[in-house]
Amino acid sequence: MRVYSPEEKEAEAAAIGYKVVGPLQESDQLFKPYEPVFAVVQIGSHQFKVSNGDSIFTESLKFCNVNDKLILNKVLLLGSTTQTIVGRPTVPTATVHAVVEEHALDAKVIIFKKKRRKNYRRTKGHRQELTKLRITDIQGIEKPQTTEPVKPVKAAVKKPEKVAVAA
Amino acid sequence: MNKKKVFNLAKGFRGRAKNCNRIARERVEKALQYSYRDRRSKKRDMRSLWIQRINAGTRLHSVNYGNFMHGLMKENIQLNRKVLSELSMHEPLSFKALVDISRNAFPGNKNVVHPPRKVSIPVSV
Repeated sequence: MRVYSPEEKEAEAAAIGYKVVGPLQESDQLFKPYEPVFAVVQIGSHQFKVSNGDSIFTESLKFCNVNDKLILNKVLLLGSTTQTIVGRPTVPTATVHAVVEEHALDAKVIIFKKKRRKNYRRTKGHRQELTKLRITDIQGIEKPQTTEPVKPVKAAVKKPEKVAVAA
Repeated sequence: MNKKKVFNLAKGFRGRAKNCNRIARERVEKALQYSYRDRRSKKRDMRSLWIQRINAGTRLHSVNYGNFMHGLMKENIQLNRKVLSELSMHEPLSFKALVDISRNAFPGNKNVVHPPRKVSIPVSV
């Protein structure tokens, strides 16, 4: 296990995987309701079309622990209901914020090799290491502002109390 | 407990292959060999499926797949086929924007395929 002693080396390796580790805080309100905005982000060599509140399984990312905030800065396309921003190849001022949910192992696949009539049979099991990310925010595009319907404020109406009629 | 593992993997097999040890072991070994081979061919099949979907999406806008990808490569847009197929299915407006970019970048899209016109044949019963 190589020891990445200076933090600059960690930053360089993070730049290869297009992620920047931010500090982890528990008092932020990160999880907003769904917004109709999507982005295409690249992590390593895989591209994902993400939106607010999605969860993604990527290859295991080193240098980040659970409950870390990440900033993914290789964004290839941004889209909303009104506009589309296409990067060539990336959009430089766009970022996608994500939180590391868990580091997990994939389901086991059995690797079985056999040559018939030659008495050769090999069995191996394999579980790939994955990281689950939860996408919290997409920045770099104008989000359509949802106009909430103004609920009519009902004035306090006092219902006439039924007075017991004393017979 | 290899016998137990074999029967666990043999669930849903046909006939005696799910119940009898000798036959189940043969069928399970064949199934594992097929899964090894198909994990490699799944990558090829998925790419072929994405290309078919992109082709269908671009032909709605009278551009074929080859010219579309040529235009994207000229514009240095590095979206891969998986994402392009998802856009063509779920984000039609963004996909149309990409088709327009490709059409402007590569102006050889004049002699392109037009969607076939549906000729209504009167049905006489």
